[in-house]
Amino acid sequence: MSRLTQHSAIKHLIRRATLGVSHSALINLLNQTYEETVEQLLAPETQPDYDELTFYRYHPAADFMWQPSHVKLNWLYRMTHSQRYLEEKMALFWHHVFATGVEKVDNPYALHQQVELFRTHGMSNYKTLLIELAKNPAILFWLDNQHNHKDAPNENWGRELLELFSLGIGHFTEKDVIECSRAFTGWTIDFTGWHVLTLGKIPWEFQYQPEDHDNEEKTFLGVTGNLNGADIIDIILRQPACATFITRHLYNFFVEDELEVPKWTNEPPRNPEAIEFLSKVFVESGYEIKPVLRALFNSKFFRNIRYNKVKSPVEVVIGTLKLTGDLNGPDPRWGEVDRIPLSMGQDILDPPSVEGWHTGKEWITSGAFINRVNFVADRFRNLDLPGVKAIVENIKHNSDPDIPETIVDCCLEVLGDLEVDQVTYKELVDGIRLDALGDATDEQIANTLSIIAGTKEYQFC
Amino acid sequence: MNMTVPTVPVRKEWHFSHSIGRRTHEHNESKLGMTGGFCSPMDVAISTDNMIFVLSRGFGFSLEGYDGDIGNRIGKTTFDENHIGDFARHATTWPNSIAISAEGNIFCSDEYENAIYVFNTDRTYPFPEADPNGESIFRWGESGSRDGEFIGPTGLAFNKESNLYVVDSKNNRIQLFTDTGQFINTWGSGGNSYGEFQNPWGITVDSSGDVYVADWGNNRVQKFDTDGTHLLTFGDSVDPASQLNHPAHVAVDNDGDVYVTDWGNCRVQIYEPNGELIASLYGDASDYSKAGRFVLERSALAGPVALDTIRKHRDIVMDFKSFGRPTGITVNKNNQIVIADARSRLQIYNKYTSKPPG
Repeated sequence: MSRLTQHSAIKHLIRRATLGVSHSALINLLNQTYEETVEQLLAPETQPDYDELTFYRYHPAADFMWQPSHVKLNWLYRMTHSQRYLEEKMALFWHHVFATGVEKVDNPYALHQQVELFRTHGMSNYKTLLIELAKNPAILFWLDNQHNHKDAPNENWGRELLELFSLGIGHFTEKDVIECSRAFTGWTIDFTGWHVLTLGKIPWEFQYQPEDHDNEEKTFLGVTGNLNGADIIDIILRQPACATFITRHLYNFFVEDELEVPKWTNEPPRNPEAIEFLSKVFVESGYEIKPVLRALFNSKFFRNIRYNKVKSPVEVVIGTLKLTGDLNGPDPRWGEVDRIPLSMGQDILDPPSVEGWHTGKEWITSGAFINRVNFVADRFRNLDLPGVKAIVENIKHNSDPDIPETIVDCCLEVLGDLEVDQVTYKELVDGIRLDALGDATDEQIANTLSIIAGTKEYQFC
Repeated sequence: MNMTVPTVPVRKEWHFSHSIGRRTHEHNESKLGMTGGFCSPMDVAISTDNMIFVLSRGFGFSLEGYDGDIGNRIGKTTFDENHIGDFARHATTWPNSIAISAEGNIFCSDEYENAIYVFNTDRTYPFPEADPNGESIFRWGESGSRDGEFIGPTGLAFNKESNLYVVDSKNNRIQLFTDTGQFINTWGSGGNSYGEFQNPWGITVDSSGDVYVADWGNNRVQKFDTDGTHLLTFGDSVDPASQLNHPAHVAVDNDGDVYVTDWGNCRVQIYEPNGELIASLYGDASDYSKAGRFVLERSALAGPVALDTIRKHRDIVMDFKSFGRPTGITVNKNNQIVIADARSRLQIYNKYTSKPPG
């Protein structure tokens, strides 16, 4: 593979497998091979995490998570500063799949614990993840399992476990939902009272109450016995539909936008061979997530695809902050950051429903698009930002400053090897006005970057 | 129900007295003076008339674009928890530390605006009244690293000459000013040798004029004489029991014992003047403050649920007796120790000293 092709492939990997990196971090990553980069991403423990103590020193309210905005701040800050890129991206992936909302849960710290669960198990074993999820207080509360009693079952958790978290509609019956719910009676949390109590975060803990568990015989997906929650998860994992369902989620998140989940029952995957391949790896590895990710990132279907996925609002915001160096470290303006992806249609940790967000082109409404463009353009136009300054210097170094075409080419490369149509390209070139010495000024270069950030091409990754 | 912290030697004991305040970003005053509290308290100071002043960081957001109360203010309360009121509401961005001058004015550092603000404490404002642009009677400070400039000023302490030490945190130095903001001198630089700092936070001055600096990033407290000559280091032991972890503030009592809010370890370390560890406090607020209980009992919505929760889950409330993270600390002339707890309350301890037999 040529150096140019290798660089292009690594940039594609970074766009998809991370929430963006700084300009200097990208230059470092380009010094290794594609395969080495994949392995580095798959080993987050080898990379520095963010500086938690510095964050809490300057943002003490975020430490105690008094309000929903504080837990959002915690995560958005960490997304921006952690160098465990894939770990944070996978946490976001699982938040999309196991979408849980802080407004109903009303214990910001419980959501913080759930995101931590996604960090810890998000790249380990799917069975472990499901078991831990079934014990996660935030989702148990979100799906009312504290009200799931042996004498009065509540089917909310049982239904969503099958419908949205593991199998998908069409692979179970209503009777299975009832039996699944019965198996999870007694899986509850130890504390559902008013969480704040004026004292700050209270960690809810999972509690199994055997006296409230339905010990009668159940039949779930053809298996009969005195089934408990862990048995249900075992049976789920024996269904071929489970691997297909999760790998389709991964394909949708990393490779190509799929239809929304409820339509998966009737609509085949965009790339059935890819799903079959990934499912095979998933099952043969014993439902280990890391081997599937490795197979996905090294596959031809991943490496050969470009710019067909619409960036989510969180990807737009975090990626732009990292690239431009804005909000690098503690800053009072962090208090406003959670409202930026919200203005683009994604209220992190507060999804519209348990189904999560509809992704792909549904991110792009007229209002959301304007907010995306303005946010990104405002930052790339700001030459005071260290990332913008570094990028402009890099462009000046690598282009011929008196030939606008070379400047536009460099700008497009810096923003992700973007390819724009000929009309847009000509407008970008014509937009560069050379100064008296015949060179493009820093302002001209920054302006070109901000215009490119406003193109439709930049909305894709 | 006072909790006793075992101490060695037995001549000195610290007994928990009570907690003050509750978490609220909205106000610190009522007709009854009972509903007050704090929002991420960063520092405390005691005036000559034994009033407690509490600096709340608030949410730490910039006010622009936020339509609510962001909780940054200075509250005034008595030791028996009569919340007098607030001032300096929204007057700063990232308030960090306070110190009271001989004239009774409160000096407040703002580590975002790189400035020192001076407030007159004569007037407190009833909620929601505030005058963020007019309450400060004086301010100084510019961003930079030249003499008199700041990058992230934090701890403040007056010396016997009524000059003000300012921890210039991100410049890793201590600066001394007159109380009108005239630069006098400076010492310190970045690093981990004696006399060097890494993002220091709090500072205090003892009765002989020696200076103690909480060297946050180096996990130690350094003691200096008035010329900035290093004298002693606290908490740099390899023993976890006495090793400091990102200390925030430091105070010295009338006997010369040194108190350090061991922020990263969520405890307060107490040292003999020679640096020997005497005792550790972990927090003992096993019940609500007067304000906390007052509000819980009278909240039609939350009160019954919360009180029921308290009854059913007493152990959980007990778990919260510990410090969230201790930040500011100060001692009054009666050796009452006031500790700002990040759970948005104060924890008060009394020190008892008994003479050895014979």
